[in-house]
Amino acid sequence: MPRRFGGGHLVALSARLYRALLLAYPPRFRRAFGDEMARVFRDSCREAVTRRGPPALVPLWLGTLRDLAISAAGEWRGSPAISQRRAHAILRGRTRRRQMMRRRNFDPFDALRRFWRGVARSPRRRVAPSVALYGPGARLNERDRFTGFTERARLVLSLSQQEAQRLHHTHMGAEHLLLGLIREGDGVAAQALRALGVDLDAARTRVEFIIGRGDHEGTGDIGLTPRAKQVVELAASEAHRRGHHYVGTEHLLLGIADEGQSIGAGVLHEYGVGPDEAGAAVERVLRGRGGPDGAGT
Amino acid sequence: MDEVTQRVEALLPLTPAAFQILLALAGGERHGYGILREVAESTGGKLRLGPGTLYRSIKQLLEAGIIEESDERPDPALDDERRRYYRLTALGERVARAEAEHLARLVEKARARRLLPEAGAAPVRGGA
Repeated sequence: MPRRFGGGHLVALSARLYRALLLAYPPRFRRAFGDEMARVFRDSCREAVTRRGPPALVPLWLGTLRDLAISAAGEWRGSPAISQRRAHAILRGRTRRRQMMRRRNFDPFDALRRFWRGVARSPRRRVAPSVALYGPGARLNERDRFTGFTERARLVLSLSQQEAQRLHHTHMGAEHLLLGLIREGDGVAAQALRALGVDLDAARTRVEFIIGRGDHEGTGDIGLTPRAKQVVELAASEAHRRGHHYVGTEHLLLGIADEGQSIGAGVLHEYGVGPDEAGAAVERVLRGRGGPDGAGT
Repeated sequence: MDEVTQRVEALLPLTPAAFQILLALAGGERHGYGILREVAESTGGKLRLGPGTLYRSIKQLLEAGIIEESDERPDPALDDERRRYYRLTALGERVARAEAEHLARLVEKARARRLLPEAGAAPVRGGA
């Protein structure tokens, strides 16, 4: 439908530029709402130009860039946007990072537990509290979560925790799981990732660039973020779907790709790796090996 | 307290953006740009949502079951491109009402503390 306004080409150019900037959002979000967002922005540009002329695009762009930065960051973090209350996060099975940070505060029960662990175990063990996630000292529900994990997958969890500690993060997210998978080096996931061109140094740099480094070294247990829990659940269902009776590193990788919204998935996406690519790469490694990861472990 | 009330309570207070979106949709179903214009008009241009904030809120409102997609169709006032329309669900109406009541209580309190003129009175101007 023809419409008369000056600066029509500016509107078209703005719309194209904005569409390119949508790459800042997590892929799943972009797939769901990208077209609508681009349309809304173009409609806004049109209205601004029709009402107040082409210069009106300048403030509109400034406001939109600010909105883009804030909302893209929020979407990557998965922070709540509609409710000001934390309880809301629980309702939807998500937790704010800030809540994780609060764990840093002194907790007498936790201190006592750590003290006990220090007494009961060698100092070497104390340096790697990762054991507590799935070892004998783990809380029951955490232990349940990792039943059926292969030795290699458990090693990955431990390495992931070390990665989180290295960055002084107080939680273990899908991004740390991804780093753990790469670092492990020999598993099906590590091989698949290598074949896909994902290397440890680059991935570490990306993760650190996206979430930054914590202020000081965390103490005590590093828990899984809600998203990482989801990844673990998805890994288990990937294993189940493929008729595997164990959860190996390859399932964890597929879990990260399937979940799709985490920073880990975002890093994968930067390498052009989505669920399909990850699945195909895992298949290739499995075929080449003649058996799944759990076979020997 | 039944489960629905609990779900509603757990969502309050809403962010200003979310409440404005619900207010816009309380007037009938709208597409994204329609919501944006409605919000800008009703706040006198003070709250201008960007597409990112708008659709992040829409996404989470959809997930929480507060709004739903109604239809995808062209807007006769704009052009013939198809746009997704959204509307309040029954739960959404309850959430919007509960938030409005919550705000009304705050306004009442503000009146009691003389931060606002008495209900029904003309707004105070000058030194009168």
